[in-house]
Order: sequence, then C-alpha cells, then structure tokens
Amino acid sequence: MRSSTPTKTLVIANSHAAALQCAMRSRYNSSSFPLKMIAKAGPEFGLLDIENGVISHSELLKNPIDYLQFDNIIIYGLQLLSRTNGGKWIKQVRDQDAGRFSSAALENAAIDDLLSTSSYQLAKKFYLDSSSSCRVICLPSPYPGELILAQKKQWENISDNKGWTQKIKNIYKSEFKKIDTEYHHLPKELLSDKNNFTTHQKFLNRKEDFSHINEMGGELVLDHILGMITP
Amino acid sequence: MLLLLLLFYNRLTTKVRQYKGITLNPYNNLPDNAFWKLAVANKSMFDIDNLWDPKFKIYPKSKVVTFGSCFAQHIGNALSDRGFTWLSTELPPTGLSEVSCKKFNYNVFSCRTGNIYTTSLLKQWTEWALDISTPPDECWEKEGRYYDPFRPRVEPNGFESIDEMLRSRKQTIASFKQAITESNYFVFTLGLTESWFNTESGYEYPMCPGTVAGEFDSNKHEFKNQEFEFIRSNLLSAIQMMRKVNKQLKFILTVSPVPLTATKSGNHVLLATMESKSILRAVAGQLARKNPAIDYFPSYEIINSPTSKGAYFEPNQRSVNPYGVNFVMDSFFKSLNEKYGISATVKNTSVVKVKKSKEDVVCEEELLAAFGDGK
Repeated sequence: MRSSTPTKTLVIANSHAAALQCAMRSRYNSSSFPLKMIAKAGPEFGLLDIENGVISHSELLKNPIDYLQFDNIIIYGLQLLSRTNGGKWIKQVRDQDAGRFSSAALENAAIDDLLSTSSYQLAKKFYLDSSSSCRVICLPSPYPGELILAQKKQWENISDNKGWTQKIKNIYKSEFKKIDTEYHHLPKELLSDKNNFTTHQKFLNRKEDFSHINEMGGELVLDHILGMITP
Repeated sequence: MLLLLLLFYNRLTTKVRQYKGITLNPYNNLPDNAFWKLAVANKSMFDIDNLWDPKFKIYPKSKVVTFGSCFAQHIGNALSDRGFTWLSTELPPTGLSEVSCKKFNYNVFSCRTGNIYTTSLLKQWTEWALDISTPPDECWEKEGRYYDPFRPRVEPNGFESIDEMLRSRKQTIASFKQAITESNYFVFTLGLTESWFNTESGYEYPMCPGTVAGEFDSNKHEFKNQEFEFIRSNLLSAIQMMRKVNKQLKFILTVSPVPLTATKSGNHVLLATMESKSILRAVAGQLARKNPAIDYFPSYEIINSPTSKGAYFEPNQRSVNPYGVNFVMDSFFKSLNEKYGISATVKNTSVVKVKKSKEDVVCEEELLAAFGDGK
C-alpha cells in the first residue's frame, strides 16, 4: 500500500469512465475521490477546446476547467484501432499472408487510424497548448478494438494476432511520445489468453456489449491509475 | 476588252462551280478547325476547342482503369473527382489515409504497378497477368530492406523480406489481371522511349538498376532507346492480348507531356525529349487511326502546343501545374459532353483546385534528377 497521496489528476474519458466511477464510489466518499473526472460517451471529448491552460466547450462542458491546477491529465478509453476499423484491420493482417498488404502499409494504416482518434487529437491539443505543463497520459479502452470481432466468435482463434496487438501498442507508444504523451497499457488481468483465445476477464454482463468492463475491472484500472500518479 | 471578258468568264465559272459544290482544291471546303488562323491564331488559348472527337461513349458508370506514365495519375483522379467510375483493383488497407495511400502507391494507378513508362513494360505486365510468362524472382536489397525491381517505389522504404516483396508483386499482378478483365476502358499514357533491359533474361526494368536501389552491372543491364516499330508492335501486342480476355475492352492512349528528367541517349535532354515524345505520339496516332477499339486523347498537345506558351508548366518547365491538368481534363469531359451529351459532375472542386501537381503525382523517373545535382 502506498503511503503518499496521489498527485492531482483529471481524467477525461468516454463511456469507459463508468466502471472507473463505480470503483471510486465503492472505495471512497465522493469528497475524497482521488480523481476528478469528466466523461462523455462516444468520441465527442476529442472536440474539447484546450487553450491557455483552460479546457472548454460551449456544449460539452458547463464550466471551463483550469487544467493547470492538475499535475496529470489522463485520457482514458482510446480504442486500439478505433471505431469499426479494428476488426477490419485485423482481418487485413490475415490477408497479409496472402500478400495483399505489406507490414509497413499495415503499420502506417494503424498510425493513420490512431491520428484520427479523439484521444490522440485531444492529447495533441494539450501538446500544442503553450500553457500546458501537465503530464499527459493516454490509456486504451479495456478491451482492444481489434479483438471485439473475435469476441463475437467471428474467428476461431485470435491468438494468431497477438503479435500484432503488441506491435500496435508499440506503434501507439512511439506515436504518443512524439506529442509528449505517455501511453500505458491497462492491467494484464483484464484479458486472458487461455486456450489460444483472448477473452475478457472482467466483462460487464450486458447483451451485445463486448467492450465495457464491470466494477471489478474498474477497480483494476483505478489501482493502475493510482499506481501511475502516486509518487 | 478581251482581257476583261476573260476575267468576267473566269469569275462566273468559279461562282457556278462553287454553287454546284464543286471544289477548286481540297482545302476550299474544309471546316474552320483545319486552319491555324481560324482555329488557333484568332482565338484565346482557352477557347481553342474541338481538339478531340471521342470515339467512345464513356458513361459515368463505365469502368475505367488508368496506367502508364506519371501523367496517367491525373486522369484517374479527374475521373473520380467528376463522378466517373475509376476502377481501383488493389485497395489500400482500411485506415490508411489519403496521404499514406499515395506514399504506398495505392490509388495512384488502378493497381500498384508503379509507372509503366514504355509499351514493352505494358506488354511485360500483361504477359505476367495473363500467365503468358512468369516474372523473375529478382529482388533489390538496400540497407536491409527489399525492393521490387519492377515497382521500385511502391513501398517507400522497401519490403520487410524477399518473401513479402514477392507476395506483394503477385497480388499486384492479380490486380492488374482484374483491371484488364473487369474494365470497359483502359487508359494508357505513353511516357518514355528510353528503357533498361536485363540482357541475360530479356526482361525490362522501369528504372535503371542502381538508381532507386539495386546495383548497376554493365554486363547485365543494357540501355535501349526504343524506336517506332518496337514501340508500336509491343503496344499492339499488349492490346491484342488484353482484348483476347476482354473483347469489349477499349483503349484510350495519351502521351505524357512531361519532359524527360534525364536522358542516357547521348543527346541533349531537350532534343531527347522532343524525339521521344514525337515517336510516342506517332505510334499512338497510328494505332488510333487504324483500330476502332483505340482512341487517342491529345493531352500532350494541349499542354505542349505553342498556343499554351508554356503556361501549363511549373517554373521547372517540366511538371505540369494544376491549371494545366484541369484544363486538359476539362477538355476531356467537355468533348464527351459535346459529342454524346454526357456531363461530368464535379464532386470535389476544392481538391481539384488546390492540388499541387508536383506533390500530387508519383513519378519514379524524377529520381534521376538527383544524379545531375551539383554538376
């Protein structure tokens, strides 16, 4: 158990904020929440305006936030290979064996896809804001987008693609570094590779939801975050 | 008095002959566009029209593929921008941005052949696609990356392995076959007469070995400045092979107006350019005249004729500027509209206008300029 208190942290998240919020509620009183959180489902948080140390948006945010009061900004919920492209993209890895695509073209597609995500665009806004001195961290969504189709049982064996999942993570790390943003994976415990099949370990038991985690998963993510922001 | 009578008689008979439609000489009844003064000198360069009488009724839904020299890329772009069906048979991976697509040569031509500068290269690709011959396994290595000698710049930093390069080439050959069999119109831009061959096996490279990658070996690599009959017979042969598997396929030939970057001919590059373009133009003209399935579109003349006064070139007097490209393509669609009433719809005006031609085209041959720097 860490004895120090976490540094001041603002979490900007999409729908994945829910499990994190539940975890905080079950562990803390609202007055002692270690994180301040702003959340908006979907990719809209990428539209937030970041200028002169202030986060604002006429529709998404009631009151502007002076983000310079925080030591860390965490952007949570980036889907590895965003939107629906994840599944399509990983199928292409299979097509690669047939010669359709080179590894370099696939890597570039992954980068181009990343550059179009809300998380990246938001991180870049912090990078471009000359007032910014915060540590900016980006966390992916708990379940990599490219695996969602596998979860829907569209493929028998996803483990063939695990090498690529790791490769994508490395690509993302390196791209985020260019805009002074740290990219961290989520805890390994959220996924399992048993029986040659990558599965979700902390699923939110909701029909047709292959992406969100439950409160236990939220606790894992919360601990992970606290580990990063506690000196 | 007698002289006056003779003069009067002469004028009278002339009038009668004209009235009866009997011409005095073959030029008397020609249309305005047959006369330089009427069709050119008395007009603004932008009003010169009727340059192309299209043979084919190309509908927006007709599938058109484009291959050849750098300039062919503009035709593909213009077709897409104006609501026509430009067929791309080798699609990029999902997620690849437009900029990266260009970098990786997706949607530059209808598949990733890279520039097909000569008619003999076109024949070579056609033979590979139709299983008439097999591509060699030759691969160029540079700093641990692998380059395809027949598409040296399709992968900006080369392939990861020889195997990846060969598999990718196989895919492009399959896509080229698909372009042949599934399209209605095959647009080919003739670019160069100067070429490089492997003397041991007889195959041709689009770029001289040792320029983009690979090593030049004077015992193995031979320069050939192709002549009229060689160019004509290769083009005709390629066309015949393609029409054998797609009887409906029609061809539109153009000649690239872009001058040579460098010449190995021993001539001044300007002379080499003019000679090369003249031969290519003559080949295209002859084939189009003699074959109902082949047409010639005069993009070369529109850009290069004295009426344009070089206005359609960038300051380097080589790259065609966006205005030139637009003017050429506007002429293309205007002619189709005038003859067949087929109108083009501009989908993306800003793209058409803003594109910078130098960035817009992927031209391997431009690399040769680097070898002239500092001299």
